[in-house]
Amino acid sequence: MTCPLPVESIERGADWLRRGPDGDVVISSRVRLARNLAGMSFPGRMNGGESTRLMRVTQSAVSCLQLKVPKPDEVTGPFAGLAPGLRPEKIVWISIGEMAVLDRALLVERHLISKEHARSDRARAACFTLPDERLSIMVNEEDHLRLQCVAPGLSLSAAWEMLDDVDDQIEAHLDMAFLPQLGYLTACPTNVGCAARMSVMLHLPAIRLAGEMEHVKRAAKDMNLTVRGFYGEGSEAAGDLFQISNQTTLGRSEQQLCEQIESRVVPQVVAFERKVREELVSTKRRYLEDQIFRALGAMKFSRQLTPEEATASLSLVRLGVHCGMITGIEPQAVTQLILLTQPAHLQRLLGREMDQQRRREARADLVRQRLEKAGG
Amino acid sequence: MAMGVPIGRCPRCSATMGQLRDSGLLGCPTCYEAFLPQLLPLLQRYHEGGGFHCGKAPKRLIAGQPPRVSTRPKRKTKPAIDLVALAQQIQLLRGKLAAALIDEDYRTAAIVRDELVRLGDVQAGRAARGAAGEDGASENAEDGGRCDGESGGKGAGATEGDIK
Repeated sequence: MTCPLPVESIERGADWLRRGPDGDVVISSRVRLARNLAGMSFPGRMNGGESTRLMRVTQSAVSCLQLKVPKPDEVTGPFAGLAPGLRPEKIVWISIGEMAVLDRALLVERHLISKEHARSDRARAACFTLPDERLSIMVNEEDHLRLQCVAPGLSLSAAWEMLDDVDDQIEAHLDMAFLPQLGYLTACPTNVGCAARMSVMLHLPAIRLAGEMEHVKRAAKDMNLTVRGFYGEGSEAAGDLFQISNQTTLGRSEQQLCEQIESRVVPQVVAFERKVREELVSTKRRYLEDQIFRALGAMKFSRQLTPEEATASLSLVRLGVHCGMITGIEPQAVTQLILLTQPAHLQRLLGREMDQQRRREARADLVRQRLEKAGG
Repeated sequence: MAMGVPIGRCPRCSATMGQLRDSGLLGCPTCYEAFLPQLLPLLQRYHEGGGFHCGKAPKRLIAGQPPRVSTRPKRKTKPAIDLVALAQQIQLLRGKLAAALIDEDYRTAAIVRDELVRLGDVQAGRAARGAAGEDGASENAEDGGRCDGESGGKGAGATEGDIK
């Protein structure tokens, strides 16, 4: 099977990485729903017949989706500027089982499927996605369906609104496992209830530099929220990119979760990050400049780069652009570069598979080329 | 079968609580009803005492339309547990337990606690035991309570299997 994403799409980077509301700090907002069909075992215990049926009915339901497209006059909303007329037939169907390992990694790096889904040996693991990748549906992961909507910037309610509509449309065709008292039933009891994970990805380099990250994590935990890294558990240090999401799903509605994260918690974190950035600029300017320009120097002159080095340094370059210290490059281009320097993206972008050493060299070449005009 | 007494296997998919403990995952939607007494305290813990669902519901259900697919178990089974009645009963007993503890009527508190434990309310049982300084929880409750972090199973981690 050929690569599920065209090179121009890889080159352009994920749409949700373009600038959205509060884009200096907030990268993207994501809502994910877990859904299971009634009268059918969860994927871990499904037999071949159930698996085939799940695939068939899901394809049928998805093919009927009528997605709302941005209105012509919508120029400021999170989905404004997207290609209009995204018809259902343009939804891309991806069969995970038939994909090369590298392409599976590509989808994980792009947040279209989970690591678990990529590793799946289930013959019928699949994924639907729109060409702009704001909507994707994992089939046969831990739950029958995992619906996801991602929007750039702080746009959680817009993402929820879109996914709620998609969920309604799918439910019009499929009966979901649901109990009034427990809500949507999921394979893992930790997800039962509204079965929604709402997360906002933030770029918090100043808070990290000021040593205040633990403070943010503790505060989030006190509010039943969790803080993870760019690629989930264990990737906390990568690029100062953190995802704040709800930990519990039972006893609170989707609107309550959305409101808590979007209107109460994230604005506070955003304000804190901005305040620390200002403090660093005004009181520790030389220290901040040193950090930022060392990173820029490494990116402009390195001949070999690991993904970790690239991600960490590009994070500081992004901070430098937002603080007005670095010019000649757009901040979202730096964010896209963080994605493009990941191993699978790099190899697909350059059109060839490479060993680790070759990747490091190619990564340094790519970063040098993209940051050519960046300077202080 | 008395309401709330654990069933060994799910009547639909034959999953057991042991398998849930090992994998952290249930076998099918019917497992929720089959293992409800053991699951309730776990759900309370995972969801910080989250109580009951208050989010969206399928529109077909709201409109009272019948399901398109059969949700009946494959094998002949006992009637499903009435969740509403169980929730009401647990709520009522929690009130009685609190009143008995305030009155320092530990004998009544112990009886009510045992009944709560039998219904799967481990949290209330433990709280009462702590307050009354007693020891003697139901084995069923402890069985349910072990399906968490201490078991080493996936469900315990509470984050590994969740929606990331």
